[in-house]
Amino acid sequence: MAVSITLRNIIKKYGDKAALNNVTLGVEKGHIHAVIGTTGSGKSTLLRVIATLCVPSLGSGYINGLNLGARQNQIRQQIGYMSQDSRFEESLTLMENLILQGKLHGIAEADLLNRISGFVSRFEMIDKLHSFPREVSYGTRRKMEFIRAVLHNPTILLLDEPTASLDLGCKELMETFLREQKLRFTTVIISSNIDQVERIADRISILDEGRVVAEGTLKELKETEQENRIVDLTLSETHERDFNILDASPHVSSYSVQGNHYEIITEADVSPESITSLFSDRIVQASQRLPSLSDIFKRMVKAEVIHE
Amino acid sequence: MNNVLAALWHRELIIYRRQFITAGIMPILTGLIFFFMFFLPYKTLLPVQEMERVIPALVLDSLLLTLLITIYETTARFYWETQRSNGMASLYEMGRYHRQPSFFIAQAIISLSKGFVHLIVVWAILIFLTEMSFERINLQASIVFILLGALQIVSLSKIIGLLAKHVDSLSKFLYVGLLPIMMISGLFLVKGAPLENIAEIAFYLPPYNWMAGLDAAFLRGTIDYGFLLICLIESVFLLWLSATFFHLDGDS
Repeated sequence: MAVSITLRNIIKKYGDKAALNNVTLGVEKGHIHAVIGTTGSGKSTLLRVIATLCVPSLGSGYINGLNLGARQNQIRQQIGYMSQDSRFEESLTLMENLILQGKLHGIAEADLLNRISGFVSRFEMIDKLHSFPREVSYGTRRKMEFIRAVLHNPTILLLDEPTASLDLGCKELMETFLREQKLRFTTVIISSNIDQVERIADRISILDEGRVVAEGTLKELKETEQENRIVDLTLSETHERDFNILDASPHVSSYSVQGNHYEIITEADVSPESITSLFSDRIVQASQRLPSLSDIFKRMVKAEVIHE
Repeated sequence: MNNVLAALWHRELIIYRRQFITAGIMPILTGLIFFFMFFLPYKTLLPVQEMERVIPALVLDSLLLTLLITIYETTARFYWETQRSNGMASLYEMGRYHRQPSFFIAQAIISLSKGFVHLIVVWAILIFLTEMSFERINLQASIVFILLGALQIVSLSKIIGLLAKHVDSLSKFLYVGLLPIMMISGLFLVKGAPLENIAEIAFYLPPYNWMAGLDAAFLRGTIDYGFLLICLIESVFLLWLSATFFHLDGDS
């Protein structure tokens, strides 16, 4: 399949700090590519580089065959961008905001009104159209921004946390739209909702401190962890010495702690009993499972809760 | 270009209608208040013959003030909002109009149109109130200088809008920069012979050199080609400068 987005060795520096450090990325046409990472890992900068809103310090890229460094205006015509912040002309109603964007993109009025009507009925927002942005809920604003991003029929869709803080209904509406229309768009989505990423993404990149630390399909990423198992332990009480016990155990690769819950990574051939036996008198619940994307993510990034 | 002009025109009209008191009434009122602030004391101090020479000068100053405030507020604020604010910059950039000549020109046309509408309203009110005679005014020359002056204000406003880091800076530039320079230029401290009262620097200082030419056209009914040449050169220079700033802006 044709590649829509290609980034090669992109470096973006702000002063001495590298927001992106040698990032290479390829997104095939019609794919949904998710980018996950901790706060400040460079996800939004990556999206802004693709959107040509941010000029890389080094590296090259092509969007639908157009050079990122030289053809910004042609690239922008093909991009629908939904930023993380809520952005509206506050003096205009939501409808007027949509009309303004449509007109700026050169859509004829009749066609524009048809498109708006189709989108707002699909996203259940007809009664909100003539409200001002300040008068509607955050979820409505986000849905409107989503509509605005797709209004001019872009081929590339860049979504920065599109469903963060939205209720389940809103999330489902957007996800369903993305799944149904996925062949129309090449989508890059930043999401901190790992479940959502598992549901909709064809490929996933994990970003940490500006570097891509892992990239692949969900299956491929899970295969990198197939040698590992997760033992989930809930204890009646925890002690300081637990850390010493876990650190000393040859069966434990790493572990994380949340309250009375221990998440212990072991090799696949380690039996769960060899772990549970370490805390036998205090175990409330114990189970073993394959690593999820969330576990892989936690392993890949330098999260403080992980003890190696 | 048509798309951009239509879209921005639509936006401006809606916002203008919704914010009519601040965007429409206030600039017009500022010009009128300025006029009466000087007119009433002069009227009590000066004889009638002297007043006939002072009134056109005060009318001219009120028109300049109205034009300056309207164009500056429209242009600088718009440029700051669309190019600088975290809220809207990316949105307009993604609309492909960031650094596009069509965006630049469309906005200039809108600012000039609003400026001239306000100017005509103030002018009409003052003619009605003062029963001022048109006989001595060289209208053709006046229009040329007003147009060049307005272009200079548009250019400066664009540069300021693009340079301002915070929206508050826009008012600072106006009230600490542009207005005081306009006031001390001498045009606003007239008594009978305005041209002689203009500070020498105002002849060369954009965007005020055009006032000198306008002053001659408006008050003496003559066209000064020397001023016109300086004014043309400085208008072209400022337009080029603002276009360059506009073009270079945006590489974050």
